[in-house]
Amino acid sequence: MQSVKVIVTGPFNAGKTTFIKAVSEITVLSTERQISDASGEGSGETTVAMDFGRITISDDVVLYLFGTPGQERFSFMWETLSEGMLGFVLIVDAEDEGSFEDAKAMIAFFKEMSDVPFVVAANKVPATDVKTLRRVRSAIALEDTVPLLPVDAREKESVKAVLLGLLYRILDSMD
Amino acid sequence: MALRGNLKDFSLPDVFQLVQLSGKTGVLRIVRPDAEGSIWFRDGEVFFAQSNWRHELLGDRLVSAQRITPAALERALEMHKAEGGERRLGEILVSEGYITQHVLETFVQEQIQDTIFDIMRWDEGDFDFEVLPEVLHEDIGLSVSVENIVMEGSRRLDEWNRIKKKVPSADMVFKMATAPGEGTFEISLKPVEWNLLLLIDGTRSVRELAEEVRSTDFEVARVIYGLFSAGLLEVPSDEEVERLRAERAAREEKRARAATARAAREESPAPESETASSAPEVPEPEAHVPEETAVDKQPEEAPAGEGGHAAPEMPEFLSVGAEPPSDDDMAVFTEMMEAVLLPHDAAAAETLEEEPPATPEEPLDEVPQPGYGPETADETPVVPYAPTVEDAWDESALLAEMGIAQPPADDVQDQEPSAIVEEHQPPAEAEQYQPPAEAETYEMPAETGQYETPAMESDDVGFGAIPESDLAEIPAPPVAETEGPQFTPSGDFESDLRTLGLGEYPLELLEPEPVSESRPPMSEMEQAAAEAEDGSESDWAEFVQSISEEPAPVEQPPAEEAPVEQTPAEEGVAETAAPEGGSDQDLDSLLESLGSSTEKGAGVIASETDFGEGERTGEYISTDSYLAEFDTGGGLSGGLCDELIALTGGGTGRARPVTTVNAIPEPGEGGRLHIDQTVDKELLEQIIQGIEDL
Repeated sequence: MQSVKVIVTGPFNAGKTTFIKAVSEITVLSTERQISDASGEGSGETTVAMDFGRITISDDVVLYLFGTPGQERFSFMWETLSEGMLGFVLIVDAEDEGSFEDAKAMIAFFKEMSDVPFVVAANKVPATDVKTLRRVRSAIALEDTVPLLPVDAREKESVKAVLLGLLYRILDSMD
Repeated sequence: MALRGNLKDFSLPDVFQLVQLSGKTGVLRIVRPDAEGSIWFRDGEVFFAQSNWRHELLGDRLVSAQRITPAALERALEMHKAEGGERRLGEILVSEGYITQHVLETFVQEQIQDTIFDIMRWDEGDFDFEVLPEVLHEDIGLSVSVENIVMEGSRRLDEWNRIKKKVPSADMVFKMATAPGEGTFEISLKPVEWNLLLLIDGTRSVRELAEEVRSTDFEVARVIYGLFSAGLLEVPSDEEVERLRAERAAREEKRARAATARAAREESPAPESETASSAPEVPEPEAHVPEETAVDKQPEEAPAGEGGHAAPEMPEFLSVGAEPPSDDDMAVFTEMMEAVLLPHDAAAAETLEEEPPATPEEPLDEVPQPGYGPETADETPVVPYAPTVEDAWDESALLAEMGIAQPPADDVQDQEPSAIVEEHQPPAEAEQYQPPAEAETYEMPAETGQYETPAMESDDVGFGAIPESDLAEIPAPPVAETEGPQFTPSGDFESDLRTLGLGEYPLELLEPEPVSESRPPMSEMEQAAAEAEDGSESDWAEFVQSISEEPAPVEQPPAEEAPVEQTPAEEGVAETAAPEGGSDQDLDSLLESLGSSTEKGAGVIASETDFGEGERTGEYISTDSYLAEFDTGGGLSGGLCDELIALTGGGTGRARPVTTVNAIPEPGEGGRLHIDQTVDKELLEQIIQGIEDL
C-alpha cells in the first residue's frame, strides 16, 4: 500500500479542518482541544495537534491529508507533520485580514523549511472574484509564481479543485 | 503517650525517624492555620498520607496520566458517594476493573510522596502523633520507607530551592517567549509541559496554573523552571500582564455570551436548520470536535456569499457520517502522532527506516512524461483514465466537472483587463491539464493543429461568455503563426488554472511577450517599468536584462525548444499583453490593472521560487541536554541532568511520552523538508485521476 501525504496548513481558524472534512472519506481524526484563554478568539475549538483525513486513490494508493495547528505558538510542530509530504496547501481566510500576517509568516516558514511545491487557497472567495484574490495576494506578499486559488472549504468540489491545483503544480515541478 | 510539638522545634524528618525507630502504628497530624495534613504509620513505615493543601486527587492523577477516562472517574465517584464512602475511590476503581491493584499502588505511593513533600515544606505548624492499635480504613497494603521519603523530600527541597531562584513566588506570571532561546533548535516537551504551555498566556500566576491543572504549585513551578531555562517563557511586565488580563476577561465575556446564545438556540428548536440539527447524530470518534461546535463553526467559515456565491448550509457530505477510520488509517495516524510524540532522534531513526528508498529501477528521470514534450506516441504512456478529445473540448462540461461555474457574460464586461485575460482562455488549454488527451494529440496531427492555434480557431471552439467584441481585441498569438504543432503542454499548471477559472494570472506569464517582435519601443518599456518604482534594483536589472537579452521567440523559435520556453499560457497572455500592432494604451491599461502586483516588477520574468538548498545539518538540542550543559554537578540529585529527569517525572518509574519539537531554522538555512521521493509522475497522475473521480 502506497500512501502519500499532503499537508493542509494555514493561520488559525482559516478553515483547515473544514477543508479536510470536505474531502476525507473517513471521519476526520482531530486532536482538538477546547480553546483556552491563550488561544484567542474564534471558533470554540482549535487544532492543537493535527487533523487527519483519507482519500483512497486506488486499491494500493491512499492519499492522506494532515492538517497542522494554525497558531504560531505551535509552529514547531509544522516541521514534524510535514516531513515526507508531497506538497502542501496553505489556506488563508480571505475575510480575516488580521490573519494575513500570520499567513505571510507561515509561507516564509515553509519556504525556508521545504523544497516542495505548494499552493495558497483563499477561503471564502468565489471562484470568479479576481479582485479579492489579487487583494489577498498583495496582502500576504505572495510571489507571482505561487498559485492563489479560491476555495470554499465546505464545498467538496472546491476543495477538490485546490487539491488538483496542487497536484498539477507538483506534476509541473517534476519536469 | 502522644507525641506533640512544633515544626519550628522539630523538623518532620526528625519526627519521622523517631516514629520509625520506635516502630509505632498511628497517625501523625500536622496542623497549621490554613491547612492540615496527616501521615499514617504502620509499624514505623508510612503507608498513607493526605492533606488539604493544594493536593492533587488520586482520580485526577489517574485521568491526567490517561489511566482512566473522565467518565470512568465520574462513575466511580458516583459509586463512592452512593456507598457513603464505605469504600475508597481506589478500591472502587480496582473492583470495577478500571485499573489494576498495581497501578493503584503506584499512584497512591506517588501521591503519598507528593503529600509528604508538601508538608515537609511547611515552616510552621503543630504536629501530634496519635498511637492507634490499627488503622484499617486507609491501609491498602502500601509501605513506604521513611528513609526513602526523607531522601526524596530532601531532594525535592533542594530542587525547590533551585527552582525558587527563577520562580521565586507562586504569584509570578509567565508568558510564551516571542522567540526560542538562543541556540535552541529543538526542544523536547512532555505532556505535562505541553499542557502548561497551553495555559501560560501572561495572565495566570503559578498558583492559578496549579489550580487550573489541578496540580501542586511545586509541580507547576518545576515545569516552568525547565521551560523558562530553555528560553520558552518570559516574564511579562506588570503593564503587559494587566493588558493581557483585560483582554482575557474580554474574551471570556465574549465566549460566555456566545455560550449563552448557543444554549438558547439549542433550547429553542429551529425547524429551518434541519441539517444542523441532524449533525449531532453523526457518529464521531471520541477525540472529535463536538458536533455542536462543528455546526457552530459553519457560519464563521461561510464564504462571503456576495455576487451570487452560494452560501450552503452544512453540506451533505459533512453532515452525513463518513466511514470510520480503518485500522490502516489508525496505524498511519498513530505513526504520525508518534513522530510528534517521540524524541527527535528516535523519530528521525524511524523515519529513516520507514521511508522506502527511491527505487533505483525506476528513477524519476526515466519515468515517461506524457504530454510534456514532443515524444512520440509510442513513448507516451496511454493513461486509462484519459478523457476523450471530444470530452476535453467541452469546456463547459469540463468546468462543471471541476465544480467551477462560468461567469455570466455580463460580468466579463465589468472586469479588469487582467481578469478578462483569465476568463478568456484559449479553448485548447482547457484540456491541457489532461495529459493523456495531449498525448493523443500527437497521434492525431489534424486535431493538434487546432490545439496549437487556439486563437486562430477561436470561432470553432467557443469562448463561452466572451463577447465577440472582446475577442476581436485579443490578437492571435504570434507563435501560432509561425509554428506548427509545437507541443501540447500537458500539466501546464498555470494554463490549467486559467482554464478552470481559478487563480490569478501570474505576472511572469503576462509580461514576457512584450519583448517579442511586437515589443513596444524602449521608452515605453521604461514607462511600464517606471510603474514598478517599488521594485528592487535587482528587479530593475533583471527587467533590463530581460528586454535586452531575451530573443524574440516568435521570429526564430526552435521547434524543439518551444515547449520549454513558451507555454501555451504565455501564448494566451501574449494575445492580450502584446498584440500584434496592439496599442500602447492596451499595455498601459493592462499594467495599471495589475495594481500593486505590477509594482513588484513590471516586465520582469520571475524566476522560479528558490526553496532552499539541499540538506541542512540538523543542529538541535533538547531541553534536557540544554539544561545539562550549564550545570553538571552539585545538589542531592547529582547533577542537573538527573534533576531534569526528576523534574520531568523520569524518576517515577512511569514511562511518559515526550513531544518532539522542532524549531524554526535560522534565516538563510536551507530547507529540511523535502518532497516524497517515492512518488513519480505515474503515481502522481494516478492520484490526480483519483481526486478527479472523487
